[in-house]
Amino acid sequence: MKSVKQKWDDHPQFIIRPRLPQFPGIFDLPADTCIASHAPHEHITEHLHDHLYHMHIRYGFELPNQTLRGIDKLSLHVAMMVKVDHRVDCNPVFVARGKGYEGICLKMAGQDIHWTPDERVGEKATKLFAKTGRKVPKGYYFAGFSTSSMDERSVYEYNREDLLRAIGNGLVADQHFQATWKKPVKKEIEPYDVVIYLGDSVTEYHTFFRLPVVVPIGAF
Amino acid sequence: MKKITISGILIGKRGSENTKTAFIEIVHIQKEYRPEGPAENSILEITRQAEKSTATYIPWVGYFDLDRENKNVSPKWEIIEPGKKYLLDNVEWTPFQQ
Repeated sequence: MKSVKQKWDDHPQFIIRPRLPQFPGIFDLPADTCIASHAPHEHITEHLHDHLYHMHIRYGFELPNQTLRGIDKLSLHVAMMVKVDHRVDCNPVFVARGKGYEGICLKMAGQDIHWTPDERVGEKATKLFAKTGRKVPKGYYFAGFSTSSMDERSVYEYNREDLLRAIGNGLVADQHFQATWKKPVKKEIEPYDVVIYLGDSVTEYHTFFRLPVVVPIGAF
Repeated sequence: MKKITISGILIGKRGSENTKTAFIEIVHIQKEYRPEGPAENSILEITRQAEKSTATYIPWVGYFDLDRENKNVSPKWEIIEPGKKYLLDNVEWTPFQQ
């Protein structure tokens, strides 16, 4: 019989760590702002809902240098706990600020990273959240996403070489999402804290963290 | 009520132009028409009826939303892929739902 340590050592390993955003200015979000509500504004490349009342959801993350032991390929998972009358859409992963309020996309496997809504990821996040003794509050749900093909219609798995090449000696990046009304109305979204789940399609590693509307000193 | 011309790419529709009931078209707008009309990169739902047509924003972002609607609703959408050029005059423009 294997010890707990041996079992853990046998598991495939992929590690992703949340941190504060790295690149102020993308989509007109200042530094250390994770949640911000905007009225309709001018078009910005890659911005999905600039013509609607929308709430930005943004965090930074780090993929530390790692061996990716036991991993042949995987898709990244993310889920956000949002209100039931909101939907969330994903932007690519940004590794720098570009022109104006635009971001510069991280490429993996020769293409920008895209996401597709994935109900299974939302369900997985809900179950894992419950395992920690917490419940999704009434009126909220986990909107889940997997990395996707460029047309955002099917799940895409990155192979080990693609992942190793992108991570290199360690990678930091920003992830942006935008929540909007499922039925667009002329009403601002009152900002609220958002719990994020990060995981993947292969390993048991996952993390939950909360994006506060106002980031406290010393956070993260 | 403001009336405008809608110009974009038709990506889906539900119902038939040959019946008397309303049918719906989904149009991707590719240029900026604000403040008189819709925004660049927005997706509109256009309800066509014999006496009038109305257009409003929907929060969709692409074909994925049509795929999902096709799984969840009846009658099914006709997905138009690749999209076709779309031009419709005299459309009542109500960007947000009341």
